Formats: sequence, C-alpha cells, structure tokens
Amino acid sequence: MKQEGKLGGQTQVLDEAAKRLTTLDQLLNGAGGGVFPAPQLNVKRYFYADLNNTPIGPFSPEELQQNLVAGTIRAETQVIEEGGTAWQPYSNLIMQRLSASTGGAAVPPPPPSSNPKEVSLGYAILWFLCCVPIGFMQWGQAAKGWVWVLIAIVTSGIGGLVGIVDYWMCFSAQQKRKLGEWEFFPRN
Amino acid sequence: MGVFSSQLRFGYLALAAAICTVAFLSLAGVLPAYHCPFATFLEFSCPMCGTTRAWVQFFQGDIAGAFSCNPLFMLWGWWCLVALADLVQKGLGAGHPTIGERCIIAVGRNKLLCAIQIVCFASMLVYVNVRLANTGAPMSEGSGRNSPVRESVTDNT
Repeated sequence: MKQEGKLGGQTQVLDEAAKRLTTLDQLLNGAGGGVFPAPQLNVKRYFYADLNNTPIGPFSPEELQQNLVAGTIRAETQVIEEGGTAWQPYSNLIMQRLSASTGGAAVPPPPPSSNPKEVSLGYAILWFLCCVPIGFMQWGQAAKGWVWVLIAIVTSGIGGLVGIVDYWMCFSAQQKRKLGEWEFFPRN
Repeated sequence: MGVFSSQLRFGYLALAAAICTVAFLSLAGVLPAYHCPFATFLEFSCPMCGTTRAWVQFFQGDIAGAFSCNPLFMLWGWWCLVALADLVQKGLGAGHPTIGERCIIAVGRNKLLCAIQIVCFASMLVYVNVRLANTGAPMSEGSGRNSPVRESVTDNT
C-alpha cells in the first residue's frame, strides 16, 4: 500500500503485538520495538571430515554440537567453515564460540606452558642414549632425530654435538609447549 | 585429506631410503670412520657404543666378536629398527600413534619392561665406560674396516 502511495512513511498504524501505535516506517524497518526481527543471515555453517576424510555438511554450530553428543564427531575432528580454506579441530571452534559468547574475557586462553605429554628428564636422557630418533620421537620429532643421525655420520660425529644442543633445547621447550615436527633449536 | 601431506610422506620415504643407504655403506666399511661425539668430544661412551661394529661383526658371522663389542647390540638395533619402521609407516600415510609411539608408550606403561630397559641402560653405561677407561679408546670409534679401534677390539676378541 505504501508503494502504491496510499500510505506515507509517517502514517500511524496499530502494532497489535505491542498494543501501541507506531509509524509505518518504524514497523517496516523493525525499529522501535523489533516487530520484524532481522533474519539471521550471517549464521556460519561448517563441514566436518569423516573417517574417510570426506567433508560432511554443512551444519550449524548447534547441529555440530548435537553430532558431538551423538558421538558422530569428536573434539579432534577436523572442521571447516563453509567457504573457508583452513581446517581446524572442532575443539578450536568450541573455544571460539565459548569465548565469543562470554565477550572473550571470561574464558582464559590455555596457559602457554601447558603440554600434557611433557617428557621427564630421566626418560629424555634414557631414550636419547638408547636410540637418538626414539629420543626425539617422544615429542613427535622422530624424523628430525634421523636427520641428526645422518648429519652426525656424514660429519664424522661433529654434527652430533650440534644435535645434542638441539635435543636439549627441544627437551626444555617441550616442557612448556607442544613442538612442531621440524622445529630446530626451539626457544621457550 | 591425509594426516601427512603427500610431499611430507615422500620426504619420510626418501629419508628412510637415505638411512638404509648410509647404514649399508657404513656396515660395508665404505663410509669414512664415524667418531661418536660422546666419546670423542665429551669423553664418555653411551650405552650404544660399539653397536655399529657389533653389527658389522654379526653380519660377518663373528657372533662372539659382536657380543664383545656391545652385548646389547640387538636391543639397540631393535629400537633403531622401530624408529625406521616408524618413519616408513608415516611415509605410507599412517596416522598417530605410529608404531614407534606405540612402542615407547607400551614400554613407558609397563613397569617391568621399563625397569629392564633402565637396568640394561645403566649396566651398559658402566660397562662401556669402564672399557673406555681401561683401553683409552671408545668402542664405537672407527666403523671403517681398517680403523685402529676395530683392529684393537678384534685383537681382544
């Protein structure tokens, strides 16, 4: 009717739900009472990777949560946002949503020193002296351990000394955080 | 989407191939003498000291000589084999936990195995270092066929 020119933007109309008068413009724009709530156009949807690494979805975060409860997915299941390029564990998504819902302040980030699979000094020495790659394997760097073995052999043992320094630095760093597989001489 | 990218998997297999090649050349005496950094620079021997030479003698059929070089060479060899299998397994696309990770977790959880490993480790640490003190040369020094240490150990056996 407004488009046909019969009603103006300032025409008073009765909002039955609110039991009050409002202007037509306010009614149509949803202002002054929220008669027409804005549709949720920006709801993110996600795919998850199943056991065969096939993307399944898309699902809303709530649907993903239902899948988690049903046991279809787990915290470490890889998920990706619709249209996104980076896969991430579902646990990251949970943390992001938790942080967003609390204003990003109430949920502290995990401490940088946390590493649940921290290797003790005794085991670090034991495995290093038993088999160098196994020693590095304790914090997920077995391949790097083999590289040091090769370097040591090729350099008639001199490179092995550098490897010992790297091993010690890795041991120190892994007590505070998880190491990358090819992280050389990590600092705390 | 695999656990490891195809490039990384190729890298693992290439590394495993390089290790096998170097091990073969080392055991065949083609590579120059390897000087253990522990024994050469830090003046103490690790429990694996003499393992390379022990395997050389083992493959030459000298079982007694092999055990003389390092009585536990098969134990350390087993762990090297596990680490190598771990690398190959990752190269073939297996995810975590790999065979190596399973092994160290199993040993870590089993108190008896853990105790045996520590006892082997400690006794070898003492044994090889007493020999180092007596002979003045580490057992693992010189994996080449003509190395003086090899000759001296061969003389001992």
